[in-house]
Amino acid sequence: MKNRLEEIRKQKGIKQEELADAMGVSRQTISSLENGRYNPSVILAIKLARYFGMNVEEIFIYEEVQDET
Amino acid sequence: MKHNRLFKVSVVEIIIGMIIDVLALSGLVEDPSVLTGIGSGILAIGIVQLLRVIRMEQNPELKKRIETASKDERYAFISMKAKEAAFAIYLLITGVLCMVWMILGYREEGMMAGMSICLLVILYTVLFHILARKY
Repeated sequence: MKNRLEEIRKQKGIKQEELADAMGVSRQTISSLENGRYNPSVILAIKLARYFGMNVEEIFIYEEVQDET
Repeated sequence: MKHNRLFKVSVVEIIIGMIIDVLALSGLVEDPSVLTGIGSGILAIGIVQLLRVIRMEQNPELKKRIETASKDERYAFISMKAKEAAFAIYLLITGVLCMVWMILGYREEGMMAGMSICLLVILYTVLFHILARKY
């Protein structure tokens, strides 16, 4: 699953540490999400979307053919 | 709250470890080596946990990092994957050992390895069915 997390975070001028603190996860988790190495749980995806005031689909792009996490 | 509980658990472990060690050294038991080992083990775990709690209380940054790591979903995912891989590797190694021991005539060791595999498979099956009902 692709995502626009890094792009959106940078647009808003938020650091990875700040986003991680707000989400209650580690900075490495945010980094892994941005690199596409880790797919978030539904709860984390919704929390991220709410944090940025967007829909989940605006941040995370699901593709039909993809590898499992 | 969680750390308060961990502090209490550590103190209880230290006390239990000390009691077992004292019992072992008092001469009441014929062979105190096993009891000493168990007592020292529990004592060591308690001391390490207690030191960890004290360090966390003195360092708010470390406390926050450990608290975040304990809730982090990616760490939980990695831990689950690691357990899965460890389980598969253990089964493979034990399976190979079981066959090698049986071929070489070490029947007792081979049987133990085989029983270990059976126990793991049974545990997996039972837990799978319990969790399938839950989720």
